[in-house]
Amino acid sequence: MGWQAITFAFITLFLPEPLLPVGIILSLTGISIAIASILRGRSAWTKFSMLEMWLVFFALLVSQALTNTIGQYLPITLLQSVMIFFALEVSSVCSEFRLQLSRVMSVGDNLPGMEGRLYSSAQAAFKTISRAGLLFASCYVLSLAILYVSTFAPLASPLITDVSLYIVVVSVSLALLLVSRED
Amino acid sequence: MALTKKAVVYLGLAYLFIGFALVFRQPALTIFVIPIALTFFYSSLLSHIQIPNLTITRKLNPLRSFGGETIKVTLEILNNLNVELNELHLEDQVPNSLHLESGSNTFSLSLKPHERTEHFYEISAPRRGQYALGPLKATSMDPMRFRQFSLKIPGQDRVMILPQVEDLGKVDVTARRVGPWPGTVPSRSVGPGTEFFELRLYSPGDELRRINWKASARQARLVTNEFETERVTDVLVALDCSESVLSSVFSFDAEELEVNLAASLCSQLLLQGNRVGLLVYGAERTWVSPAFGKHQLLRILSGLTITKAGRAIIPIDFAVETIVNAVLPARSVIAFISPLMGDAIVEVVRSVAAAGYSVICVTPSIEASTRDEPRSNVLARKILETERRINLRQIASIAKCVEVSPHTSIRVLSRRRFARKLA
Repeated sequence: MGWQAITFAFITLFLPEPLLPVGIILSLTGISIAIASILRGRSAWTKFSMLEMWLVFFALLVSQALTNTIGQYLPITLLQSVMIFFALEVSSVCSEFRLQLSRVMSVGDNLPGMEGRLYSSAQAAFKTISRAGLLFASCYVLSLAILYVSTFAPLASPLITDVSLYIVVVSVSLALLLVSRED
Repeated sequence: MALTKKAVVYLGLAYLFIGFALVFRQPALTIFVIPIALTFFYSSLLSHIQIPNLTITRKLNPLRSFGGETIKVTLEILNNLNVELNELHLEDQVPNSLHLESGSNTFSLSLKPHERTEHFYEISAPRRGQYALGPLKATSMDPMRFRQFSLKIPGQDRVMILPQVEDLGKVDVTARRVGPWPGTVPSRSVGPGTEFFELRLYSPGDELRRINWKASARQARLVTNEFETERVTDVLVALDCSESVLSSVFSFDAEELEVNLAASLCSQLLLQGNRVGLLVYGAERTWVSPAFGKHQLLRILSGLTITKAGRAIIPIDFAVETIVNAVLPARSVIAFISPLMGDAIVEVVRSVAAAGYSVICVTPSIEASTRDEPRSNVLARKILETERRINLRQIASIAKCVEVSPHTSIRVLSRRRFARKLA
């Protein structure tokens, strides 16, 4: 929840002035829904809060695209997107763990051995979150590296333009599709 | 292996970013695809999904229930692999008609090599029937949860929710044919018993307690009481669960009432020492040949558990006469539990009564409908009610009939009616 609040604040902070009130309202609503989802244990509410986060992010992205300032803020916007991905990961792991916890709480002492299983689940959840954090951090660093290469490479060789980055990314996306369909 | 919803969402986002880049002519926007692509590559190339190999044992306690009680399901899960299984999602298939009382049939766990663990949950069934639990669905996912591998581990267990058995008290039946064992059915022969039969002159060797002193004083010679022996008999309970039981004439669940009544009647007749059999005529036709004892009660209750009302394939007269001729000795007792609708049931009762069987008919009573219905429906209901009344009158002339209401306890009914009318 704390991570979601930070991400919301970080996105809202960079919103252009006309969109700021809408961004603040959406962020506050999103944070309230996230708190409520944790208190009530409703995973659907968590999804709704994440959807709001994406909405604010895309509003920021569109506003930057329209004012032609994408290039200027790209490392920050990239960081914001990675933060959202991490928030998604954390919320899905946490809601799953909460579901298990509520199942154990609902049966009380009737289920021997559940405490041990709950402990191992908590450990696994912590491990998953740490791994996701590490993965997204490295993703950000690698993306940033690609970004800088694509920014400075055209200066060295005019043949390599932004369009080449586009071609590279589209190729990566197609490869991605192939990887996901490998089975 | 299949993609998860999460993977589809991530792929959608990737193509959304590419679309944005095209729409706004900003190739730099495609950089947002890189983190998604990297996570996918990590998920696909650097991690792998463990295909689980599990042995599942399911234990149910109790195996049979009379409904309204909690059934504890214990799942024993054994990992047959030499590797650890992480975050395995398991779901034990439970029919929607069963209520989950506590615990959950879906759960996640990690299993060490050859580790054995147990999972518990409790269910209850609101309605009579046979329910299958299982198979268990095991889903294993990659660390990023982009791809999943699901497999069903075969193995089903059945839980039976038996019909309600109520204590009817003593049910008096008469039969032209009785068995050799003592019971509660008057045998029309003199011997040890409880029912007075006749008086006769004292003969040496008669028990003193059987001398009728008043009659002896009147006749000035010793007179003794003779009693009628009571034996057991063979009873076939024929349950008519044909489509007529589903008729809207009945404002209550006539099928359940009939099944519960059949269960209670069979239980009581068996308790009184009779040889009892069952014939169910409905969507699923079953029969249990007559026998004695508690095992027979269990067989009968199991037969009643799977009873479903509906259109039968063969006519009722053929079904009844075939079973009666095959398994029931002549001049025994047949108890029909039927809504008594249609001409066929009257013909069946008439033919078995003519063949020398003692016949009892138990039927659900029709109550005045309180529903707002179109005039045509009211008229149709009245026609059906009249037809049924005519059938009831025809059957009452050849057999003993009892009408049963769902709002009265069967035990109360037995006190009021079975003892008197079924005698």
